[in-house]
Amino acid sequence: MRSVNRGYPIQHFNLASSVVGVAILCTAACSNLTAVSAPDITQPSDLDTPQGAIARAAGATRAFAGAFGLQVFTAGLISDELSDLSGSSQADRRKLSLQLGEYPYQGLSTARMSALRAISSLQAYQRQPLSNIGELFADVGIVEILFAENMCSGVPLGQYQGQTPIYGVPETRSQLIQQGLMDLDSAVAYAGASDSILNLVRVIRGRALLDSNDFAAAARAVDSVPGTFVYLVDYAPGGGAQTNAIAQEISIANSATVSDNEGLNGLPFISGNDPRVSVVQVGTSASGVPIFNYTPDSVPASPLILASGIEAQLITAEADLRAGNVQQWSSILNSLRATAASVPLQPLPADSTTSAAAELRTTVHFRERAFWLFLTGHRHGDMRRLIRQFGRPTESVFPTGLYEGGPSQYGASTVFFPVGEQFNPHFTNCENVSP
Amino acid sequence: MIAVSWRLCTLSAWIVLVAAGAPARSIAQFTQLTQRAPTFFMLTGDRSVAVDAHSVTILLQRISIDLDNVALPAAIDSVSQAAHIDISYNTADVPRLQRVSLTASKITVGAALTAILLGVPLDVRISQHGALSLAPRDEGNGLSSHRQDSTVFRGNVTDASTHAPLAGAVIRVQGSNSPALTGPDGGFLITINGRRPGSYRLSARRLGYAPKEAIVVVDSAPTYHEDFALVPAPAMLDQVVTTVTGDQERRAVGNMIGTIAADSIVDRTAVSSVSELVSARVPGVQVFQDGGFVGLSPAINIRGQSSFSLSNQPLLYIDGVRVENSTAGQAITGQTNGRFDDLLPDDIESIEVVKGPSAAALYGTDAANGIILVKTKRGIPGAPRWKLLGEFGSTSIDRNRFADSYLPWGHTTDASHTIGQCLLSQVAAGSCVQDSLTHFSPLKLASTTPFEDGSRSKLGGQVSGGSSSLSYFLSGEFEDDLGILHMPIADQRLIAPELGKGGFTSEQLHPNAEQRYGFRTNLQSSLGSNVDVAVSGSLIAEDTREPNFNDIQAGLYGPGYRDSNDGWAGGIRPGYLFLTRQDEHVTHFTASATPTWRPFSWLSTHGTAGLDFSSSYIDQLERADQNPFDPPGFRTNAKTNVLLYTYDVGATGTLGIGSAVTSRTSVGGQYNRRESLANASYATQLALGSATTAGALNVQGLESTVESIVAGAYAEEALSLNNRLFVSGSVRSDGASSFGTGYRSALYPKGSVSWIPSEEVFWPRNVILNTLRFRAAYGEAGVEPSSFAALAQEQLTPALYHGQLVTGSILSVVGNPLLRPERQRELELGFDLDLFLSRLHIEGTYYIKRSTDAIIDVPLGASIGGGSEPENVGEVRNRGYEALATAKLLDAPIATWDVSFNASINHNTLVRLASGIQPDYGTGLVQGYPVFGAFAQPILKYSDQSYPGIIEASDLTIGPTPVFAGSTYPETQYTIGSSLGLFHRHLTFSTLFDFRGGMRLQDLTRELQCYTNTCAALADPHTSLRAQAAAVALTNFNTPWGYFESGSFMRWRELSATCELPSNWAKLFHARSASITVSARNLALWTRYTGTDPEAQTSVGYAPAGAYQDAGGGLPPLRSFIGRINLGL
Repeated sequence: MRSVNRGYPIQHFNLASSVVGVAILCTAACSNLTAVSAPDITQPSDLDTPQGAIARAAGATRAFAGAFGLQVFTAGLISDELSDLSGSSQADRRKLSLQLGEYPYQGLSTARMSALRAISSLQAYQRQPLSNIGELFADVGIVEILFAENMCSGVPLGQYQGQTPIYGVPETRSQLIQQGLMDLDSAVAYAGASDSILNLVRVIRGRALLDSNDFAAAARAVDSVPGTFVYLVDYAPGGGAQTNAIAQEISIANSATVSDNEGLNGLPFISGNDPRVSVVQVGTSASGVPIFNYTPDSVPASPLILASGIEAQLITAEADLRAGNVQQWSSILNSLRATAASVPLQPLPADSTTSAAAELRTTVHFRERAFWLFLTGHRHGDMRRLIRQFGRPTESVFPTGLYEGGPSQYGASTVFFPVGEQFNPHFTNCENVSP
Repeated sequence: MIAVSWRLCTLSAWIVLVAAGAPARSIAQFTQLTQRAPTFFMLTGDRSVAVDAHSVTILLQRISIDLDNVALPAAIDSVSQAAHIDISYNTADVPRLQRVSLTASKITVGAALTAILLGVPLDVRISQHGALSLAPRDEGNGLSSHRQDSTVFRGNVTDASTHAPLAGAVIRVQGSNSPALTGPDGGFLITINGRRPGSYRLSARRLGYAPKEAIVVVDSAPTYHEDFALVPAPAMLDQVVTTVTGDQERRAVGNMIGTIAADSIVDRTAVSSVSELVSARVPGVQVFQDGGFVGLSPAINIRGQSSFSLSNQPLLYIDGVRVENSTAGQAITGQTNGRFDDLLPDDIESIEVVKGPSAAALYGTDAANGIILVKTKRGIPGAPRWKLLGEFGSTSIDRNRFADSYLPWGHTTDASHTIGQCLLSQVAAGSCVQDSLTHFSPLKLASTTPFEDGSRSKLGGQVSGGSSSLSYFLSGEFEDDLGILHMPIADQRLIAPELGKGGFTSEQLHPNAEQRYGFRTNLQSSLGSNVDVAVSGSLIAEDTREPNFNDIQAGLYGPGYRDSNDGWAGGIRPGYLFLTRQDEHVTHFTASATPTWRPFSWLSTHGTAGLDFSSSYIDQLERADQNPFDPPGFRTNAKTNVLLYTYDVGATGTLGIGSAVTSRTSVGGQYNRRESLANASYATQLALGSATTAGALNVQGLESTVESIVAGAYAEEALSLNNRLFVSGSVRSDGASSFGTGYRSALYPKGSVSWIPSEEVFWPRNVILNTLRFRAAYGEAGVEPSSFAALAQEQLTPALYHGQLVTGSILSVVGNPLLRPERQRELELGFDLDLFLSRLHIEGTYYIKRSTDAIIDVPLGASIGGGSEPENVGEVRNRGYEALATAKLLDAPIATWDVSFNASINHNTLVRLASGIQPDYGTGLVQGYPVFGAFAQPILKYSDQSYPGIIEASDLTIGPTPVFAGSTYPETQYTIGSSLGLFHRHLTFSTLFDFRGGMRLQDLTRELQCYTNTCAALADPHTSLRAQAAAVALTNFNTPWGYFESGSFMRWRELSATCELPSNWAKLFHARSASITVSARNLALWTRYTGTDPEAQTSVGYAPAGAYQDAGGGLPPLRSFIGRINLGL
């Protein structure tokens, strides 16, 4: 600098250009001048290890548990299982659109994509035990089937290309189920001797086949599931891990309650005093409405049931009902009532089963499913099936009339929308919003 | 006599003391006397050098003296005895018959000698051993052999209209590198080595005054006297403004730079924060006060919103050091905290606003949103001058602006005739018949309201003094601000029995308050004739209690009558919520050292090293059994430390090329590093009786370290032709840590032209058009994204996996390795005009600013996991006009009247989005419309067809897709200020009106009410059909279209009166001067907006959720009445 300065009067303009040149070279080349540390940033390459693969699997499992809990909750709102007390739920009002959606579509998508990523990671760095991979494939399949059950037709599925997520194209309900079944096949391939995963896959497969009107195949799928089988989604009491969304929203936030005869068509989940839907009052709303929660979901660590032997038997019973084996259907239902409930239930009377009209049998069957599978994420899909597969008018199935929370009537929504998908260049709109 | 005394009380201390003995003397006589004041000479070896009396320790010794018409020799002896200093003189040189009077307490020896030797042809010599001697001035103090050693310029600077001395004015002698500052008495002294006969140009400048020059002809005499009477002029071309390359005259800068003379505003308007000081005083600068809570920090935007996902806040520099001023929402309290106001307004000398890239290019990456440059007060050489200040006042809000909740009572039409809520929709459906209508708000009723008058007080002190070689400024201040929230009386009665003997704490009764301590030390030292060092340090400590704004939200949608819960929705009484501890403790420390070295007359170098450290500690506790509505309780323990390091070096060389052209070349470099370190623990479901996270069922920890660095170098060449045409060009190269692997460096060019044709030879001189300047500037600058935005990131969380709690991971950020900084390009064109002998000053500016690499957090489709990815895909344009006019309507000794008007119009447009980026109506990301615009499905038509007088869903026609409803940010801002000074400005009145318009506010308060069936439009059949349509569209079609309203408003922002007390009154406080100010803020509001208040915001100015909207629960700005007293000692 001194030599430059000495020549200042002469090399006046050269000075500026020299400094600029040095500056450019310096800022371009001396990158360590701007180097910073990032101690709490974990980059993907940091997890390309066996331990990292396990972490990704655990993360995907957590994401699935969290999203599944919200799925159960929001599907409970749009159906007759739960009522919103916050005054803001569009799902409870059945007024949903592409702009307003409360369904945990993104959460479930994150769970699905995380599972796919974890599968790749486990395959690369920690293949054993293989059942870990099978379990994640099952999660992927379940998410796809939940999309088919709860959402409009035309939901896209993302994929990974290396480490880069890429958009998928809209899939019809049928395509979603087929994709789900394929992923369940992969789950079986990796499940090995894990009965838990195999039975989970069997029940979910049966569920998907019911959705596809393939009742006989559904029954075959669940044929070997033990009646005592239960697959639980676990939650933790604290420590920042996933918690039960039902307990969070009802017992802690007091933002919702178990419904009772909601919107004319709703079932008496409280007043029915049915031991299958054991409720407990956890508070009172601002307007004095008692808040009830489902007893099994009363604390944040309560597990949620994802699949069970009871569901398997209900699938079998439905297949019998559709096949005209009314006696067998009735027998299964009564057998469950006699043995599976905490308190044995009276058998269903003949005039509502064997001697009832077909219409009533259907009603009874879905009522039984509603109580047996209460707050397990089935009711909304079942309501849609009543409309789609059994020809029931929408307004005779979903809550209708004057909305409980006022001031308007219930809306007409029967499906959730893939909100947030407008940024997917392949997505334009739902292809079909019918149930 | 009173008038004379009033004048005198504003003169410097020694003038006052002399005048006390001769009160009938006019100011003019005093001025003549000062022209004959003695000169002090320091003897060193065989040389003598004229010195400033303030720089000699022995002359700073303080004495008390009482001389009443005594002979001069006796007076000299009295000083000698009082100071215990030998003062020798030849009795023949001292006029024995001259008599003097002087009564003073703690006067310096220098001032005493100056006072008693006024008009006497004697100078004072100071030996190396500290002895004083008096020598006849005509004989050069007997040092004729050394007369050629130096030339002394001395004089006084006064306000031309009030004749008050002006401290802190900068005096320069052309050709000398060492300017002088005037002392408290307005006096100055500059000594230059050697005695070269000829003409010397002296200039005097001070912010707020038109600079003045004088030609002094130097011959053989050693001392020359020149006084300057400066004319107040708020904006003039010859004022000095701050640039990266050093101070420059405004005329040489092609940009509009807003200037706020803070020191003259604070004393007269009692502003409580820096943001209030900045608000509505510079065109193009919008300050969004964050509602009426105490202790919050505002968002500030300059020339519109340019960034969607990054900060739109300008940078803040204090005395050359970058200072943390980030503003962020506080998740739990729902309010915005920030560090912008961590500065005492009383410490500020001036604020300059550098508005955009055309001016800020040399500040580089990060500077595109403009820069606020704060200069704090500097020490003024001289005896210590104390200033004590005190403020006391009250604050309030108009609680009647809050909306009532409504409840329509009725009975069902079935046989049961059940009585209950009967909404209009139910009436129309035939299910009930309305019987009556009640409405109520617990926010309004005296016994249930959580509002009462708050209070504000401040005590502070400042001292300034020193010598020309070391001057100092010290200040300390304490502020106590008690907000307007208090526990409602009804809640106190209800809750008190539950608390037992302890009762309420003061914090629970008044949950919003702030106490603040501030200290500042500024030192300036001359280490020789060509080296100066300025060192400064400041410390702010704040304790703030910050309630959750949701605490009062339940009062907006209660049941519609005073029920057993006193009308609070869900019984959520604020009383229980106020039991919660929600405190923020802040420590903010800034230190800097700025050396300046002038090795040659043509070269000046400077450097700055600075550290800014801010620590915020969020301390929140709600015990498990404290709030029946949130029984598990919660605990937040969050600490965030932010460190900013500033290093800045630069050199400027000035060269005359021929007689007309001056070249100014500058080079330099800057290095800014920011480190943010955060640690936090959040716990819920606390153990009974616990006040910590121990035993809590759910505890989460957070640790975050974020670093960012910007390092750059610049060069600038500026040419001046005849001091009338200025052309400059510069470039800055930046590297930064924030960007992707593909990013290496950014180049930011800048150029400007400034031409003053009115000073050209061909320009006809006239009294109407005095000055005309045209200016143009172009520049580019950037904004950096968050440090790691380019990186893909995994999020690690606890996960329950196969029954074990393990570490889980999911991909949380996709990242974008190709990310570049946002790049803004700005062209600015303008003019400055002085008319009618500079009584009218007008500035006009047009600008167009494009952000071509605007970073947008492009939402990712939910099917791939959602989230977002930052991409350089947007182009945002801001263009607008700014005008500033100041007029001196009256300028007489008895009265002065100044009026100022500033206006700004900004049109913001999201010009382009890259292909494939879908419009986002939710956050207002739609091509062709303002960023953060409001969009909703429109109500195309409504007609009262189904049920007379009631709008039902079937009566509405709703548009299928969202359409533009309006900008959410003000597009126009006009402010009008006026100042009236009476009796030489000893009594002044000033006022300020603030208009903002062009924005649409979303009335979320009424939306919230409608969603909870408590708004009037769903209940009251007398509500207009339009209002009913808005409510029905909201509740049935989820469109808030009907709740977008014009948010334009005019607010009477300030009114103040200041009285300079007569000196004999000031003496009652043992002070040399005293003034009292009475000030009021936010006096009145004019608006058509029907919501709570157009400024009752909870979140404005922050990307990405930057909408300017009336969020339910926000408070209007507080109305305040403050009294202030200033004492000068």
